Amino acid sequence: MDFAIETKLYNDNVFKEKINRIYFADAFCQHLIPTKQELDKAFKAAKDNNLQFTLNTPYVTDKGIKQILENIESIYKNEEIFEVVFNDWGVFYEVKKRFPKVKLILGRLLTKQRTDPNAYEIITNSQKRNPDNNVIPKTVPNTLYQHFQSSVINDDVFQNYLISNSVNRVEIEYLVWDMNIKLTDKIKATIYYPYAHITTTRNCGLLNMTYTTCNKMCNDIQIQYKNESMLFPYIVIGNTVYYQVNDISKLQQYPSIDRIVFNDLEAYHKYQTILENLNES
Amino acid sequence: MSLDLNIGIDTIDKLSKLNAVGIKKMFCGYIDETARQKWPEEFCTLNRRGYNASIIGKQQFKEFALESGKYDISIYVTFNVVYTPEQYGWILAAINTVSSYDAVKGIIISDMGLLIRLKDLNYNKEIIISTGGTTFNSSAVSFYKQFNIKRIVLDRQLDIDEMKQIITNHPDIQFEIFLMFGNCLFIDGFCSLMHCLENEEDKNTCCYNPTELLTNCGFIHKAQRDNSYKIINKSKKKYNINFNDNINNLITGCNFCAPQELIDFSDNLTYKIATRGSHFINEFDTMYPFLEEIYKLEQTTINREELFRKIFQYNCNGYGCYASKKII
Repeated sequence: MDFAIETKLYNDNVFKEKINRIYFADAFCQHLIPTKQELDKAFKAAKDNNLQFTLNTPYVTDKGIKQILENIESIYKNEEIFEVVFNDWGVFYEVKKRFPKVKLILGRLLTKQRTDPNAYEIITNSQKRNPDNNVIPKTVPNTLYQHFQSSVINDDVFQNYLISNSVNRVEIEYLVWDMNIKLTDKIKATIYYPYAHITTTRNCGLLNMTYTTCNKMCNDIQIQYKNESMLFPYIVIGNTVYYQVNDISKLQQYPSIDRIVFNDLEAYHKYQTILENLNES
Repeated sequence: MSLDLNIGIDTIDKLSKLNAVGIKKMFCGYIDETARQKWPEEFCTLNRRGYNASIIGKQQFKEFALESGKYDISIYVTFNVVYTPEQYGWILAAINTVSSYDAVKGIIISDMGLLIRLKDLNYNKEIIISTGGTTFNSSAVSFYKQFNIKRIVLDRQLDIDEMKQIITNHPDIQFEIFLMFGNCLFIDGFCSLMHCLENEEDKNTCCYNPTELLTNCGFIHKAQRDNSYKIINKSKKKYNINFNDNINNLITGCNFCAPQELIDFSDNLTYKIATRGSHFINEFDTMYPFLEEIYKLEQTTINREELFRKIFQYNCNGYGCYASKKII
């Protein structure tokens, strides 16, 4: 198992952790694309600490894609082989064309899982009677549940397309129900822990109720939305809504998953021992 | 010049209504009993239209296509969600069925597995990349061009300037943007919040969800309104976080200012009115009385804010629409 930590901003301490790899930058927000200086510093720190380097990239407008390409160029001129996670087919198109040796990874926004954990009771037919009208909810067919367990990554036509474009890794979320992952040996999967995304927006100020343009509050604040009918709270960090993965004990059921990216340093420390055991087994 | 409008409808009787105004493009969903039993349409697993909002079965579609042909209205059929491997057999057969009619000019899709298959099959009608294709930049257009696409629906969360850049860079491609009900708090193609688009009027017989909310993004809207959220500070910095009613515009999102701002690109632009039937409001019935005014938005000096007020019964505050940069 490959262990990585995701850090959206440069942080000296992260590079000292006992891990294999650093995921640098944000996968969901154009405002968090690092400057060339920040990126160079992170890349150098990874190298100095013998860590592999993966650059996260978000979905972007024309302005953002220019920044991303300049960033990649600044590394590529010295070192051609490193990973770039793409969450935008435009980014994929440009990086593949301009930087052929970069290892491209299909990001979580493009692996298209249905991730909302609060769908659980409906798709597993465990929903309760409607308190307002006392109606017993309809049941769903098992085929719907199977649909929620799977995603486009299981499609062999899509897998062949990825392989023919030298994409050999896909990034997914660890779902709260059993997953169905059917990947060829040529494609491996990454999961993120403990925050798994559900949705994202460019209307960050509306989601966070500041009604302003970006103020980088995502570095300082989380908002949790929860009511009595929800099994899982929705956690807003910046422009993206997440749920918290509580239990990855079934991880070994999924042999295609060979990498965990910790997107919270505390969570990494907490699970370090467990993960070391997992790695040994 | 009138706007090139593409309007979503769910029943055959609405074709004559579109014809009465002069609308020549519409889109609809297509499902059949086999598919809806396996993948109930409320959950947007076949298309994004919702419960009972698609044309159902081969016979109904035949009648619909022939009627549409009488009015010379072009049909675009939506297969615009993401699919899993076991669905492709049904989807391809359905595309084959609907594409056999002259009135059907193309299909609206976003799934990569489907896009690759259609290219391999040399699909001979128009392929339109749905808003689910999340086209935010000119390079994404270049990417999709490799699959012989005709038109791209630009993402709802692009602003006017960002759209202009993309359209300018690709004069050989048609683009489509939303009018009316154009917005959502989240990005369509990246959103996996549970959507259960039931028919509110039929809640007693069609009820999968024990809460009053049809989509789980409603949880967030409701928690904001009810002040039932918790702020967790990771630092001592303070931010002014309070709910206000600006959220209203997200649901309505008229975008009426867009046609005027994009007038130079009219030849490449279609405007889309989604009009889902089984959503928060009956969008078609809300929109229809004003359709003629909307259709002529580009050629008249109509007061757009007044039109907004007439339709939605409150004032436009500029939040969350293409023409505004208040949030993005």
